[in-house]
Amino acid sequence: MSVKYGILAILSRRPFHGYELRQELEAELGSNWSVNYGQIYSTLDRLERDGLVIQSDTVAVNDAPDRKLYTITPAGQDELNKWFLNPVTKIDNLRDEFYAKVVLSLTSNVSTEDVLQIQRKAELQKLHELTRLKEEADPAIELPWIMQIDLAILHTEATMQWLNMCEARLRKLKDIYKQGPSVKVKRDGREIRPAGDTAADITKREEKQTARDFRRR
Amino acid sequence: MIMEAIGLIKSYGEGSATVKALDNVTLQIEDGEFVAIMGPSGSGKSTLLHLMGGLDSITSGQVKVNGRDITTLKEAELARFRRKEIGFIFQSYNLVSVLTAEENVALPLLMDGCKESVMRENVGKAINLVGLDGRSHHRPSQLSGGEQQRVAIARAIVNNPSIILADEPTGNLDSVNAEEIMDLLSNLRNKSGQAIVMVTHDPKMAAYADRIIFLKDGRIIDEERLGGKIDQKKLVSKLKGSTN
Ligand SMILES: Nc1ncnc2c1ncn2[C@@H]1O[C@H](COP(=O)(O)OP(=O)(O)OP(=O)(O)O)[C@@H](O)[C@H]1O
Ligand SMILES: [Mg+2]
Repeated sequence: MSVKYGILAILSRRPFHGYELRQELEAELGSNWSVNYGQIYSTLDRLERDGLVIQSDTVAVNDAPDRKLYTITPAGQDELNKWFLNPVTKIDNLRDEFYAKVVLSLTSNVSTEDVLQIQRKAELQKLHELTRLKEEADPAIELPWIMQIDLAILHTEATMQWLNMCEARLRKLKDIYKQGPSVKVKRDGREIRPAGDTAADITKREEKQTARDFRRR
Repeated sequence: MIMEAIGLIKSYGEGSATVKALDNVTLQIEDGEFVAIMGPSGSGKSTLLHLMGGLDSITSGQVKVNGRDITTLKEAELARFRRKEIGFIFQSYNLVSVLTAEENVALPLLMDGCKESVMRENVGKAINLVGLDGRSHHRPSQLSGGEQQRVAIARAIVNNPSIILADEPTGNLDSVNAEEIMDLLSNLRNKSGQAIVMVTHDPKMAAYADRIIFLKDGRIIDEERLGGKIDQKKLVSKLKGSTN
């Protein structure tokens, strides 16, 4: 996935120091997305050159290794929203880039449901074209070609099922939040924001509470 | 425009137990258009199809077919209207088990008191169109699922209706049979210009349509016109490329 949009998405929450961005990205997307500091800074340079972020010097606090604070500009926010609300069209990028889009949109100001629906429509367009190609093919002489299209159709179908699952999981999460206020918990010493508070965290918390109540009796 | 739904509302139950299955749905179906309706389970897809076909009473709103408001029709008129203008296809085929394929197809014509000779001709044509020539004297229990659905399609088109309403028509079929039924439906549309409105969960089937309407919680939340938005050349070269 493109580091550019990952950084913009993190900065859209609040300004960050360059060295914090790597950690934030990895926390958000998992270690598969691990990038080195070199990539972070070269991307920040380009973003600054294009007017999508600005940097300001701040007073050094807590032995921070650098004092540059990066802030997203309105143009950067526009660019980010455009990324969120355009479907991924490169077939190879779907797995990585779209996953990043969904996860990063959870803590952004765009609706994740919109992100899913926009991709769903793009996948349906692709399925429509594939179906047309298959209808035009002659089964008597183009069987390998038809089988190749079948495979592409099934891959697209799998993606669409995954979109449905993402949507269903989001609905479940919303129901959980409706049921009560969420409590901040610490994991690996890191504070988890409510949006990162998974159903599993909540169940675990409830189990612990029940265990405590039980012992007290 | 062949069909129009205006501000359709459908509620089931009363008082605190009321379920709003459809909540202010407005849509238009053009002549010869193939529209798919998608949405999560319980979003009101079947309800919408039933109301469009005059199979269930409307809480409020209108359905117009060929400019005629069907909500004002009396029971008997409505039944005649349905047989003349609408062909229904269901997931479970809904054939009469004691009748042969041919007799099932003839049913709508029989009910309309059609002349014997006209009936024979139309039934023969419909059976031929769905590719069941050798099977016309079989009972539903002697036919495969795919063949039974073909009989149901022949029955739906025998009156030459202006619109076909199909609810998960391939839901009980395996992929190859499902594809054959979809090819059949889309060919029928191309040949005789009937409009098709099809409810489906399956994106592979929805991909045959010209337009997709997305329902959620009884409302239309989005729609998409299919075709022309994707680079076919790129797609082909990508696919061909991955074989070598
Ligand atoms: N006869 C009925 N009485 C009461 N409620 C009904 C009735 N028929 C449907 N409903 C309710 O109306 C809503 C819409 O139902 P509908 O059958 O149209 O959904 P659907 O989109 O076709 O779902 P599925 O994909 O599962 O077939 C649901 O909440 C359902 O429970
Ligand atoms: Mg249904």
